[in-house]
Amino acid sequence: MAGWRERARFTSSERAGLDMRRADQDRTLDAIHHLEAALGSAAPGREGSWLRDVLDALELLDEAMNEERRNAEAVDSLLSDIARTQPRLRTRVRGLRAQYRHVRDTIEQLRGELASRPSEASADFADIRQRLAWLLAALRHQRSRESDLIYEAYYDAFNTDIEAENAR
Amino acid sequence: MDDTIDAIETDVARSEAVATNRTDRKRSLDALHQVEFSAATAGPGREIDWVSDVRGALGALEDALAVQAQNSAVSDSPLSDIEVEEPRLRNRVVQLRQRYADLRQRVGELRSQLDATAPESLDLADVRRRLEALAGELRYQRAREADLVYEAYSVDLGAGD
Repeated sequence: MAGWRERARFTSSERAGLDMRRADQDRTLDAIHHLEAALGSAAPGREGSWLRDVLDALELLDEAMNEERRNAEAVDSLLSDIARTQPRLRTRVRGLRAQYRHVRDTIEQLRGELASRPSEASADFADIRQRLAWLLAALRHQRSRESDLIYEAYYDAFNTDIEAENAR
Repeated sequence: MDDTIDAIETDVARSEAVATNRTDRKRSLDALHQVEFSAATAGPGREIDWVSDVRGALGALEDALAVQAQNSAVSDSPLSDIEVEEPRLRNRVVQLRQRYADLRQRVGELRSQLDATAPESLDLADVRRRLEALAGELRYQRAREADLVYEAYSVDLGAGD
């Protein structure tokens, strides 16, 4: 892929990377919404089914994030392209990847912990809601930072595309 | 016989009230998702578009919360019914309404602030943080509402989310 300063349009592989990232993000966002719905459903008096729904949704999120990570770490992903062609942004790419790994580790840890509870009826739903709310807030924060980074990296290409859209 | 008819009518009215509540919750949740989606798009370098999208989404959320509050205040809403029929839960209904009203006010204040500030001079990270806090609070209240209605009716409002 060419560096952003060399031309002001997306190359076909960058466009493909952008489409891939959108698809990944949409899948993860669906999984987030699914988990939020499970967390926000009634818990006291139905702790068992509440916890099972939460665990199912957490598994879905884990899968979506694994897929997103695999694609983001591929050599032709947008983040890899930025790290390779724009040294000034390399630290931010590294930071983003590290924080995504951290979020994924937390999901795995929570899944293990929740699944190994001796009794579903003993689920402390207020505590679980709070911990998962923190996790989802961290995930949203990462998504915003990634959007900012990609826009900054491909600023010229984005604006050329927007101008082309507006001119149609 | 009259008692049976009364019971059926009560069940029908309750089902309709719950359905309205679910519709209201769905509308406000969709609006919240749009706020979050807008906030998560790239900000620096495109502040004008970013603020315009977030402001529009916040306006829709404010409207959705206003409709929800309006429907929740009528006498046959689930919360009004619980308030009358379940004295032990009355305080939780009152608190829930107050927290929703506070939340709506905070949404309005943030939207007004975005209206009154030049996009270029906004601290986007700060706005995102405030939006995150609002979203967290709204989700918390929604969960509490679902818990409360389940406790009173054994109906899970969250099943409609």
